[in-house]
Amino acid sequence: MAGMKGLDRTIIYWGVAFSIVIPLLWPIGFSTEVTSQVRDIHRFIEQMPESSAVLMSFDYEPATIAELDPMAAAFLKHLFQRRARVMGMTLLPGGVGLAENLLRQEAAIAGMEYGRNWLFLGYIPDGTAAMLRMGEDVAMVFPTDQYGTALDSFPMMRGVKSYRNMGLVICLSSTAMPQLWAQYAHDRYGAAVAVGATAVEAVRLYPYHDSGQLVGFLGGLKGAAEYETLIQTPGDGIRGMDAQTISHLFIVMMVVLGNIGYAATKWRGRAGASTGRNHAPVA
Amino acid sequence: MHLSPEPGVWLAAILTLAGFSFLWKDNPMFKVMEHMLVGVSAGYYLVQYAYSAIFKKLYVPLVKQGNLLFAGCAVLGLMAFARLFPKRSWLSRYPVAFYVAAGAGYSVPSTIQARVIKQMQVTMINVFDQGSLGAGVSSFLLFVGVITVLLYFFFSAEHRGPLGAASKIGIVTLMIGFGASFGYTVMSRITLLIGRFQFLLGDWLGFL
Repeated sequence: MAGMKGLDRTIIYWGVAFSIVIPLLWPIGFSTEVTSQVRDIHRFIEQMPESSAVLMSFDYEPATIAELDPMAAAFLKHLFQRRARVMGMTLLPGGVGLAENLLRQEAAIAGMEYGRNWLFLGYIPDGTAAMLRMGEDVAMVFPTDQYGTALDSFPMMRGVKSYRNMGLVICLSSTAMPQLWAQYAHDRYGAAVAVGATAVEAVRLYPYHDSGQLVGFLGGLKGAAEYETLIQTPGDGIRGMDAQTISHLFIVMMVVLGNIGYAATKWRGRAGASTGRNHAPVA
Repeated sequence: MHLSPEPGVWLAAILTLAGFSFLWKDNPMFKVMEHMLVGVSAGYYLVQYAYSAIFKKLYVPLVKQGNLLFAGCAVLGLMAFARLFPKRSWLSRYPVAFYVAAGAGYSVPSTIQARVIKQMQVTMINVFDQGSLGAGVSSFLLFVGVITVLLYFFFSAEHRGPLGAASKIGIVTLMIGFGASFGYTVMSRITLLIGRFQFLLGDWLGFL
């Protein structure tokens, strides 16, 4: 066990790689338990009136698509099933292409029409100012869609002026944006806010859900898998959970073995010192 | 197996493998990938900022719609570039001052409301009136955790006796929090790797 200290790190790299590749190629089918944070969002969308306007902010960039794209796809599938009018936007410049592709792809699958069922507003700099102004008038922030057409010319924007006319605001983020959406859109204007966040960020969102500032949140790939389970549409979330579980078990095993190796080395050092071995040379 | 016929997918796959090659050692393929990432990102961001901020938010309202209020915004924006000229760099402090003042004005009151007062309200609840035993225990632990962590950061008295005991509970609570946070971080990083493998095995090689 003491030899664990000198273990070649490439063995760990290969171990992690195999623990991901094997379950991806030969799925095991671990079940996914749905948490209350995820169930609350699903229930909220189910109870929204049909054709409700929903603002969806894709506040993430390519580095985190593995976690957030499955969530965004699951949300869009559910929203389009409920015939919601989806307005997509992003507060990060790198999110433009991602949001546009995903909206187009899911709208095409669900047979939704641009301008009637969904819309892409594009990127807006200075996120907090945009969040505040959309509480007064969306058209003040986005006078046109991403392609330069005036917002009031779209049928789906009739009767949609601010958060007051929206059923839900969804933020998909790899940063601290969800807290800002809760702070400005919910606390100041009373908008219902749901979040899809990377696992790193999700740990900070529990207090906001407990306080009612968030309807709920999806945390990491597990959150996406939970939502896919609820809408009964398996996607990349559920497909990735076997690999996630096996790789976590491998990491836990390595941490345990590493600690045992560390303890064994320490114990041998003490035993050696008490029997007069391993004495450091005296200068 | 069904290899992708798309050149874009092949390029992305080769660049992904070049990124992974750093695990072996630093090498020319990794360097090429790294420089491409920086160059492409810089170009992409420049275009997005220019189109979304300068064109849509300044040029259109000022030039096309003739709204002269935006001329003042343009002047403030240009003043920020005064940093490039050492003799006139003091001019750049004005737009920064404007930005800081506006930001502080709208964020300070709402931050106190959303992140302090609202969270304090949730902590100050009757733990015996939570509907279920589990919820009651959870609320009690939350209450104890908040109080003891706050006491741990109370440095005006020596941490001995009851204060020492409470601060010990506080540090255990903090450690549990850090552990949960680290666990989530590991999950997040592994997911990114899963995403790359899903791309390589699925989109590129067609195994999935």
